[in-house]
Amino acid sequence: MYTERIQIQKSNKIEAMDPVAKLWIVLFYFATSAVLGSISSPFDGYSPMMYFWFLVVIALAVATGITLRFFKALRVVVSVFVIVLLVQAFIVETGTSGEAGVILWRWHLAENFHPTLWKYGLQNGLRLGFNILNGASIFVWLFQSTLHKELSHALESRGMNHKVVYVFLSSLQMITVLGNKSKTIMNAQRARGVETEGNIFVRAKAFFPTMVPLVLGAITDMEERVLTMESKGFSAPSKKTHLLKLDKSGAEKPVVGLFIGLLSIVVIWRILLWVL
Amino acid sequence: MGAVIKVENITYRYPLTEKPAIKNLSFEIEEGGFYGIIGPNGSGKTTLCALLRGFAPSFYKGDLEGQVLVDEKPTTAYLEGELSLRIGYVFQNPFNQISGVKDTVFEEIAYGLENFGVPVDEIEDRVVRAMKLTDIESLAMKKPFEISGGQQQRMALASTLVLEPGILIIDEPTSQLDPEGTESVFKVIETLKQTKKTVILVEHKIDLIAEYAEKIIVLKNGEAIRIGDKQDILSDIALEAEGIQLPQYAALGSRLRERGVDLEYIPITEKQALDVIGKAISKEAKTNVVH
Repeated sequence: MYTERIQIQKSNKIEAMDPVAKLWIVLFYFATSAVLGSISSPFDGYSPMMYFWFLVVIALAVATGITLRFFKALRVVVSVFVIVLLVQAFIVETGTSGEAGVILWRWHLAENFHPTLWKYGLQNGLRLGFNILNGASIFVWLFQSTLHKELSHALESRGMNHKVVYVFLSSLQMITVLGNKSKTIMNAQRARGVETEGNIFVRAKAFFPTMVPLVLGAITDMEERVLTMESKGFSAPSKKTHLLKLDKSGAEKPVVGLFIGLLSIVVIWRILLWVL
Repeated sequence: MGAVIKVENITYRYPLTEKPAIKNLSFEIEEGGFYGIIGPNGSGKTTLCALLRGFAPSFYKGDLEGQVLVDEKPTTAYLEGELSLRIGYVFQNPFNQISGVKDTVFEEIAYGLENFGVPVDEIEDRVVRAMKLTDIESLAMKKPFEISGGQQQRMALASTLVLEPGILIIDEPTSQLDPEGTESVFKVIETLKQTKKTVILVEHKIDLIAEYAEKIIVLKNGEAIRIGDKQDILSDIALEAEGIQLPQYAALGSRLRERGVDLEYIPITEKQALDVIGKAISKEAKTNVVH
């Protein structure tokens, strides 16, 4: 009864794909990105396709049926993209060539304050921003469509060392645990009169009284945790069993095949550009 | 019943220390017995438990003279994981006993069985039995980090019991729990007593030791100053001079004797106190009637 209840139920076939097939998709996506990145355009010497490449991930997220949570998780990446773009566009005048920077727009807001939009900075910002967006979005798709335990179980069943899998899984879970613990420490320090709220300097001062007990506590707790794991037969030489069952959804071959097809097309295009 | 653990004149030093944490210790643990280990802080209780389980010196390293035999075989001769099936170990901090890789209480308890390669069909039955024994079946689908300390400690007990070890070492299981959590854990320990497992319990709450243990080992500065029957040891007022706290009923009995009350024996539990003080009152009343 309980064993059935802990199984992962997914109605969408792409979402329910074998996690290793999803890893293959990530790999082919990156390989395709690398080839696309080597195709330069006359505009900025950079592949115009890269500006649209992440749309493939959006299409994938929609097909996986996780559109809403994909975009929610992508917000952080988009904010990094915007920051990189603004900083580059308004600060970086020119590259290393030594040529004078090309001004696209300049605002005369005050006597000594003229924010300027530089052509080189804008291009560079777009290039960096889309690199970040392309690279991060595929991982957002992977982790929004796959539970950590699914991924680790799939890797372990294909021969990955169970100690590596344990470190991966427990690190992910510990982020939440340590977050909660730091809140408890903050409350305790506040009760002792340590100021933890206010401007950046006040918060910086509270950083050490919070971090030291958190880090030292985590280190001292480690010993008991290691022995607990030993008591639970973690290093027992026997072959392990798993309550979690992972079945293939049937979408693995067509979807991975699609990405292999995309990569093939891009590679042929690249070769044709060299030859012609 | 024979001895399941034999401690043969052991002296143990942690790495980089000169003073031994355990000195010249010898005793035997009988199968099915319930042993209480008591002593002041720093007396070597947890170190002794680690030695009995084989964590020292294999994990802690250090120097061990003498040997600890489990089923006539030295702990140092056991393979990795082998002792886990023979000796279960429950630690002080319930929070640290959570593996951190399982989403539900049910999966957490099943983790040890998965590690030992127990067939999936068998795992559920064994986990359900362990959850029933520790009264946490209603928590089966909850997240391990989101239940209370007492519930986490019972989950730790269930995670150990599910491996069906013949010997159980429980090291201060209630030191970080509130009275309610303590009571719930001791209810489980009471159940264990009926299962005839060999239990070694370290506990500062001496009244609980008096209630549950059969034999007592008293440690001080790494040495066993007394080993024997709980009635003899816990009623010995001379131990107070050694810094060992006695059960409140034993202290009361001793004070009453000092004031001339004729007690048949020094009680160590509530039941004994009611019995012996009741008898003394009846005797006193009869004497007054005669006079």
